[in-house]
Amino acid sequence: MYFLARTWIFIPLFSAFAVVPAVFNIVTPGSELFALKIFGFPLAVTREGLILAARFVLRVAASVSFVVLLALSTKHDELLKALRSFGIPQIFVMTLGMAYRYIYMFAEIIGQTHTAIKSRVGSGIGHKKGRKLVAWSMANLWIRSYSMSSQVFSAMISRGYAGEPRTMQEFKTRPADWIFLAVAAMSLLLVLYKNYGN
Amino acid sequence: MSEYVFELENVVYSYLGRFKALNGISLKVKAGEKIAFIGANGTGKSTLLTMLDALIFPDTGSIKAFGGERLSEGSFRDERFSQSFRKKVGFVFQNPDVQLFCPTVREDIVFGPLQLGASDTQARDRLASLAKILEIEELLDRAPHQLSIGEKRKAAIASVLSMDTDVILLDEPTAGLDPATTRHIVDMVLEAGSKGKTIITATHDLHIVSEISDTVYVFDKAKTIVRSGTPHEILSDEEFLKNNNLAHIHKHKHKDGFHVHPHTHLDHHEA
Repeated sequence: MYFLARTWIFIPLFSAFAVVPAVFNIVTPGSELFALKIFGFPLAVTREGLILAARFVLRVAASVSFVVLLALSTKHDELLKALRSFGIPQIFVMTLGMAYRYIYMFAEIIGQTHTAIKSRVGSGIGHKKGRKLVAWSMANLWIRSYSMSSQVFSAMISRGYAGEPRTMQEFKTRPADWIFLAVAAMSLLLVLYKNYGN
Repeated sequence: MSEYVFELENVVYSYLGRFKALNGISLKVKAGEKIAFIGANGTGKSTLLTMLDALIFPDTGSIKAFGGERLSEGSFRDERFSQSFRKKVGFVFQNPDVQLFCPTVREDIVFGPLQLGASDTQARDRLASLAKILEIEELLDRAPHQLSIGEKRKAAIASVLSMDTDVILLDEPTAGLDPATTRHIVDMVLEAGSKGKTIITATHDLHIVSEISDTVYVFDKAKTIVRSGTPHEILSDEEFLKNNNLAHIHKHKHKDGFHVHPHTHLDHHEA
């Protein structure tokens, strides 16, 4: 359900919204399917425009599907290590890893703060007070995360960090990886052959 | 080499230059000593440990380590000196979430050794032996946010033990733990102590003090050391402990009514 909601509802909806202007003749000229007027301005939806928009949405959905599948089927620390294989600097990968690690802690703090507020004021909070509480929670979280970041930095210094993080190289290619790579390469060649062969 | 790992002379420190945290601390710590800093909340124990780990420096007074020159921010700009100090002193922070910043426990444990120049093989060997000794093998591939507080503390201690430092500083290592996990943590500390390491622990868990220390320093609200002595000398002075917010009166129900007595922290066999 998470996969379907993420890949086939929210993100394609957003991309469809972004690509709406492309269906009209002013952006994509072509054979007109039907005409309409918006605030007195004549516009027409074109066949080429619709095809372009549909292709864009499908491409976005396919890309997001692959990314979500990868994230769901691979451990996050392995994903981060894989980034290193693409030559992304270690400091960047490390920062990403730490951000991922602490997001959970801060999400927990927000959850606890929300429960604490609810336990004291109940659910009958007006809009004005609600906005104040949200602003207060944001400020509180910012202060906590700032204090936490300086403590974490101290913990890193304490363990010998001097600006150039070193990590263990643990990736080893196993027979299963080679088989997977071969199947993927063959599938790609097949697709290329079917599309551009002859 | 000096017989002292730390020599502090009249150390004063304030946060933001306003909030006094240490007020004239003088003490000497010998190599291999087991020391406990005890005191109520906010008496400066954690600040002193942070200073012993050279993460902050005195406003006035001096701190020397391993018989060397006075420690200062400037001395840690020299990377060789900094690395040599970090190889000798390890600090287990009070909040394990601060200590465990890597995506997995495995990476946290090898972080210290790798930064301090250990090879991948050395780091891997230390990880394997520590995980076995501390019985945390099943935690290695887990993310820190998935661990219980007890597991986090074990992993945090492992991340410092893996550096194999001469001095280990522990800030409230048993706070918030159940009795069995507290026992396990104390055993971990004792195991490290049996290898001749200098162990300095800040705690207000008086039940563990006599086990983890030979010398106890008591901090008071004036942010200074008010008394020092053997665990027996300090823990047997109930009036003194009560005056320093370290002991309390136990009140519990028996079938015929409430029973009131002082809470003793001495070993049952000694009391």
